[in-house]
Amino acid sequence: MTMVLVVEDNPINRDVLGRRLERRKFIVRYAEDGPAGVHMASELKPDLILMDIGLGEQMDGWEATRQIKANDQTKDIPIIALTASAFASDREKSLQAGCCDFDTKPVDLPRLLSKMNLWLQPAKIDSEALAKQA
Amino acid sequence: MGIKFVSLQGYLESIVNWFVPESILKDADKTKNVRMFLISHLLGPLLGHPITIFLLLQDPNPWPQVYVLGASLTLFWVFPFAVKYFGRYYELLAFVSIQNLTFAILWGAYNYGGVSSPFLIWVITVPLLAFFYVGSSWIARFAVPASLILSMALFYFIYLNDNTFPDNIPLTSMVEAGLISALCACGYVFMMATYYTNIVDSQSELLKEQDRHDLTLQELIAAKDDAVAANGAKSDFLAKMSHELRTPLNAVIGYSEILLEDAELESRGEDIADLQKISAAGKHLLAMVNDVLDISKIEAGKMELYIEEVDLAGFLNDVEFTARPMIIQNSNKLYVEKDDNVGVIESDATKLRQAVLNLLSNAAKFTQNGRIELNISREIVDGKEWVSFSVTDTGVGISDEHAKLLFHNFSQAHPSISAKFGGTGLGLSVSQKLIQLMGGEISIESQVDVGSCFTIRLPAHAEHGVGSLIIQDEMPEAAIENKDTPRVKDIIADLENDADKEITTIVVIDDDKAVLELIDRQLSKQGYKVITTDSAQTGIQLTRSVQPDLVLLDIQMPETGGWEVLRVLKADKATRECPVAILSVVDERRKALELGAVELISKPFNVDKLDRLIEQLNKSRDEKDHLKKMSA
Repeated sequence: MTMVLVVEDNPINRDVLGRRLERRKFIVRYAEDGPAGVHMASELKPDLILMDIGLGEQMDGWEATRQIKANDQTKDIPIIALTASAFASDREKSLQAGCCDFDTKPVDLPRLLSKMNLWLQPAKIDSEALAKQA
Repeated sequence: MGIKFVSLQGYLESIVNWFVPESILKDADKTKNVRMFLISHLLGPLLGHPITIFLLLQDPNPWPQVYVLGASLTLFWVFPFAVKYFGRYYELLAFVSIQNLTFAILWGAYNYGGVSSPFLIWVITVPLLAFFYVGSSWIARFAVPASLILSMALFYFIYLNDNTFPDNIPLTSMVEAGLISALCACGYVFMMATYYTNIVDSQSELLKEQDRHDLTLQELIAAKDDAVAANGAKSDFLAKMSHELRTPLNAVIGYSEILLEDAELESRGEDIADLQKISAAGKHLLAMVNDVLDISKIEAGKMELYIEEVDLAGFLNDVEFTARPMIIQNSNKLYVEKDDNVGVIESDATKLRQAVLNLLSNAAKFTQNGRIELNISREIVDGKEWVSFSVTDTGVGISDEHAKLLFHNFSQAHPSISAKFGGTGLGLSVSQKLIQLMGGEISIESQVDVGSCFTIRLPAHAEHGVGSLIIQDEMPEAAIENKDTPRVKDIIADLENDADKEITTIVVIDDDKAVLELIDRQLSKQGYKVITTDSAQTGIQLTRSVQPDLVLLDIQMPETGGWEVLRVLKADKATRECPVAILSVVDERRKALELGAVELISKPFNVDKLDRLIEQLNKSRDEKDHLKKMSA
């Protein structure tokens, strides 16, 4: 089973996205803000993180991403940035912060799933390879 | 009669104008003087020569006195040509002309009547004309009166020598000569006065007109400022609104899709149809909100360009992949002209993609069972490289009349079209604006019931747009100068010729050894002397001892943060003057500049950006040197 951490401050967005992912047999965990996201990332070691960028004033998604990427334990977890604005500058900033990909809200689920699959695959292969070695 | 007079005056005016040299026209006051000079010289001899002719008839021995007088008066006709071709010596010419006039008057008076000569009254025109010709300058105030007195003195000495005046014509003729002379003098002064009044009148009229224009201009500027402000407020409002509208839309689209999934699982056909409508309406609304946001951003001048290298083959594949689902909806076929050698352009890939996809989606929408082609071509016009993307369809087409309206906001070819085909009516307008932002244009050729061809044509190497060329953005003076030297290559070539001015030593401080190695290699290759260190402390010490031309400082360093290093460097007298550029993955440019850095260069490290920075630094250093030299 693949575990996805959804870091999103808006309860409606969290609910919609989470429920739709759960139907597709993902284990979904939720974080309501940046610090919680960083904390849960290291606690749970999810397979992938969906990171909202506009997370309120405390810490934005880019900063949370940087912190996750700065931690050796969590730096390999792929992070896909989600933002309401479709501007190239946001994409640029997300990639610079360490996100592996970027998508816009409202979520187009098939498109997001294809992006998630792309980033989940190498991780799976790696874990298989590791399992074999063990 | 009045009309004739006016036309005569107009004719005269055009002759006068022909003689006014272009170099003088810029100076309104001087032009006025020159015009007085010209009118006086063109018409003056006509009022002087009646006297010559009369004397020629009356004087039994006219040689040499009448001939000299005639020659002197005729000489005035040469002056307008002299002014036309030697306009910059105008003052000198005016002075010479006045000397000639003085001579003619005194010569005439000396030979015909002496001190009681009827020609002597002409002397009063000399100082008058001097003011007409050169205005209230030292020539009119001092040189002309002085020369007049000298000339009169000269003739007086000649008289003293001879002790008598010549007696060339009988006294009775002298009476007639006096009449003619007085009439001609009156005529001449009248003419000059009239002309002068005309000029003064037309000038004050001109000034009044100018005042009116200035007033109108001020009103227009104020109105324009208001309009710009209002438009800016509108754009801001729209941007905020659009953003706020998205959040509830997320809920509408998201939950309708969850319910749709439920309905599909449970095969509730009626619900599926309804929920699809909600979802589609939500998505339509979202597209509209996005378009409005785009337009308001463009109109507020806040749309940023991110110019990058775009591999066209990959770009086309991507576009084709994205467009295919909408193409097949109306059973159309898509043909993309594929040529692996199509190459690379510099452009904003995201915006270009948006525009191309918009054209494709329009083509798909208005074509049934047809053929849609995407072609790409490159051309060079006047040394500038252009690239064109054309989308050709076999759809409904559009009339010329409607085509003109296509690129306006909220305009579709016909209101019924949006009912039938959907769409926001903003897509083309947004695309056009995006392409224009990149220096290009979208054009259309179409025939009703045959099909349409939309072509995006834009520079293959886009200028860096708003906010993307960070270095120019915050250095307006330097940016303005850059206009004269648009090619970075030229500037670099200049720098190479002037090797001693070039920045040579660069200290790089970054805790990541891989980054250090990479920067070292890239910069060394370009001939810079590079010193790298992964320790903040060493970096500070190095900067103190080496006094490099530039420090590149990474901001995310573990022990001493980069900001702290910057603060230390800027607080220390020994290193304060040394320019520091911050390397960062975060866009904290404002903070960097506030703390005294010259620039923030975003990671991943881009050599071009650094090159531009160095070029700017060289330039400002040259200017400083120049200023020092000037003040020294």
